Amino acid sequence: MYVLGIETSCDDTAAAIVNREGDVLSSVIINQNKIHSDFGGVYPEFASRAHIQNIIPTINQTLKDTSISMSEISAIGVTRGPGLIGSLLIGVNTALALGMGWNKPVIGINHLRGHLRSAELERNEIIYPAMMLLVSGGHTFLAYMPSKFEIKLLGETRDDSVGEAYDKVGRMLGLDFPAGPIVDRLAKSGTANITFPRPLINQALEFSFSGLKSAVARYLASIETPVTEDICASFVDAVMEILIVKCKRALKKYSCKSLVIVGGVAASPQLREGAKEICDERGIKLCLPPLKWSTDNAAMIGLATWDYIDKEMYITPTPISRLPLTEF
Amino acid sequence: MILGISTSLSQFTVAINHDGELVYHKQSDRKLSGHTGIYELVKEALEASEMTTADIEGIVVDTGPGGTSSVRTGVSFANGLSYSLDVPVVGVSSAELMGIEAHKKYQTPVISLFKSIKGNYYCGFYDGEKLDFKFTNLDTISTYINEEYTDIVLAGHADGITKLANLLTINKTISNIHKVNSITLGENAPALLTNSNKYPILPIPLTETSIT
Ligand SMILES: [Zn+2]
Repeated sequence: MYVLGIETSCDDTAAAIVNREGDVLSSVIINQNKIHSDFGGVYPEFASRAHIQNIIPTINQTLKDTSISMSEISAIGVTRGPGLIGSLLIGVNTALALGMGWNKPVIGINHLRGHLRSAELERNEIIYPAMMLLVSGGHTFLAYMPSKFEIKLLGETRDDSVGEAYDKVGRMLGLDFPAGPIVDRLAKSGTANITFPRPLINQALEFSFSGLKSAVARYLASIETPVTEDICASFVDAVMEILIVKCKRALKKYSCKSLVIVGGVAASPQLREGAKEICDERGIKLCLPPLKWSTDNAAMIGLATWDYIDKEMYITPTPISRLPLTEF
Repeated sequence: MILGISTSLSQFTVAINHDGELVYHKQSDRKLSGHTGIYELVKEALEASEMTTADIEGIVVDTGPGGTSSVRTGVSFANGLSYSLDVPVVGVSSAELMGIEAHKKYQTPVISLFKSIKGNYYCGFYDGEKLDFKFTNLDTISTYINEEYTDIVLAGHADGITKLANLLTINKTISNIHKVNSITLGENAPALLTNSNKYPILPIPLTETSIT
């Protein structure tokens, strides 16, 4: 049996068909990077407009890409939050209508649980207890998971998310949106010769990135011929040191069998390298989603839907823009 | 059976037309309905009229103008239902629905006015058959009406039509039609479905960028 997952929480319109084991039969993502590139970020009104035009074609293509029949679909899982309310309501209302038309249960899924489960797509396995670092354009936090269904928030960002910091720095440097992969690539050919601050690095497990972003802006304003590669290298160096120090601190406090890093920034080669070192040092498993499941997608929503089915949590979806990690 | 859905203004509306007869219609306050209220209302409508989704042969959905999020609520629901049931869906403007109602009553060209941002208005011109749109300020709209018409009926945004009436030098009638009427939607649903040439393109909400 399969689940149809639908994701419209931010700027990507996505649908996927996933089985209980995490095999992805089909996945379609229509992204709006072209639209948002001009704004250097996601513009909610344009996001909603694109979602409503793209969602049925996305779902149609997802179903066409497989040979499964409607009778093999157990449920429809749709992101109910957190995210942009105008985007969420398009996914949720579409899913409710499909459920009504096909006579399938429709379950509201927490997008953050989707990210967490992304590390188990394509038959990867998280060994619990696990430490989870979620780093994306919308979120940055550390959480301890004694088991699959228990989650304890350890620390989150007080201001910008890591992904936001990447995008804002990218914008200052005149790079395309989303800037993350470009900044990482440029950083590799630069030298980290500028000392940017590492905000809150000594403070428990909280994060802050707006001071780092402002420091880059100040540096750019103060220098006549900035070297983009060196700025990227110095910025990435600061970000990685913060993330790695926090992960190490968390792992010292809570003994874990795996470190799970999910979200768009989990695609960063620098972060993957740093995380591998921590895990090798401690002899624990590093769980990273396959690259294509790091950014927002519906396969992770589909896989998470199975958790809700197993727990018989048939949550009728209502869009909620601020849905905490600890809620289903 | 044809299902009519409207969520563009402050009411969520569902109407059912069976064999040319209006058999069910209901309006519910948008604030009470919330973001997924249209699902509940359609479910309730089917139960109350003792029908199932298998009875739905076509869907008519209001594409606005109206609140951007609330229009999208109804349109995404209608499109999802159309896709899953494999039945046609057509979009109708809230301006046309008000125009139909006012034209039936006064037999005169109608304008339906909707407030937008920055002091601008959407203005639908309905002549009993077809609808044209303009998106601009009241001064430009009134100049156009004074030049093109001799008689006009004003519907839509109450404050807007009072202001517009003061700028008009032609014969004008201020109607008491300020919102989409569920009976008008239900009674006209079959005609709207057959007259439309939009199918099979899925309706998308009207925005100022789609009005030139
Ligand atoms: Zn995400």
